[in-house]
Amino acid sequence: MAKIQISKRVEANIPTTSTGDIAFLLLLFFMVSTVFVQERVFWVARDRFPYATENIERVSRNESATIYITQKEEILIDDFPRYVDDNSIIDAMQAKSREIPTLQVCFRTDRDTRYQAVRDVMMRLQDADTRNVVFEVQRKD
Amino acid sequence: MKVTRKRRRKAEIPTTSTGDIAFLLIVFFMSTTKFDVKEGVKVQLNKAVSQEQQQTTEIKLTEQEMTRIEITENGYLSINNQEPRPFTDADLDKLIKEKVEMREEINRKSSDPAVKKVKMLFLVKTNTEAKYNEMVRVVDHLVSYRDRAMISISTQI
Repeated sequence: MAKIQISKRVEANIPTTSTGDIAFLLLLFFMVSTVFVQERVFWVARDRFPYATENIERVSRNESATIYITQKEEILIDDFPRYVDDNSIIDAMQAKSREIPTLQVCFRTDRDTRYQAVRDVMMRLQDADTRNVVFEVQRKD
Repeated sequence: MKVTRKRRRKAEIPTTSTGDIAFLLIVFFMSTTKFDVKEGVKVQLNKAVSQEQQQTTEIKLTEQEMTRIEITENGYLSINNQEPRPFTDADLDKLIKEKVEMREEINRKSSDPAVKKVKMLFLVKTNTEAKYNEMVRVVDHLVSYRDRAMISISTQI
C-alpha cells in the first residue's frame, strides 16, 4: 500500500525583535541631528509680516541671519537689542559673514513699521558689505 | 519523605510592544513638529557709496533707461516725478511690464551692441514715514522681472 505523505506546513514567521531597536535608533538620530532655533522669542509674529504674492523664495536657515524690527522700532539680532547709532549691527553682521560667506540677512519686520527704521538698518548692512537681504513675508491669499 | 524541588520561574520582560511604542513616539514628534521655514523676497542692496564717490560717479539717466518709483507717506506711488496716486497690484504689474517692454523695444531697434545690453533700471525710493509693507509690495512685483530689469532700493537720505 502506498504511503501518503502529508506535507508539513511551515509556519511563516517574521522576526520583529529588532523593530524596537531600529525605531529607537531613528528616534535618537532625529533627536541628535535636529537643530533648534536659537532665538528664545519670535519678536515679530508671522502674521505681522508684510504680504507678498509673487516671488516668495525659501531661505536656508543655515545660511541666514535674522534681524527683527518691531513696530516700536526695536532692532534685535539673535535676541540681543542693537542700536543703529553704534557699530553693533555692522560688527555682528561682519562676524556672521566671516562665519557664513553666502550669508543672507532676513528682515523679520512688522509690516506697519516706519520705513526709516528699515532703511537705517539697510545702510548698516551696506557698510558691513552684507548686501544679500530677504524681506520675510506671508502669502496673500 | 518526599522532597519537592522548587521550580525556578524564568523572569521575562515582554518586549513585543517596544517597537510599536517607539514608532508611536516618532509619529507623534513628526506630526507635532512645526518647522520655522524662512520665506521671503530676495534682493541685493547696492554697494555703499561715500558722499565723495557719489558726486564723481553721478550719471543722468533718462526715462528710457530708468523708472523712478517713489512711495509716499500714505502708500501712493509717484512714477518719474508724476503726481502720486494709488496703484493696485494689477496697475503696478501693468506699469512694470510696459516699462520693461519699452526698453526691450529700444534695444531691438538699436544697432549699437552696448545699447542692446541695457536693462530698465527701477529705482525704488520710499518716504521714511511710509509703511515697510508698501516697499515690500513694490519690490515683490519688481522681482518678477529680475531677469529683464535691474532693481535698486534707495537708502539715500
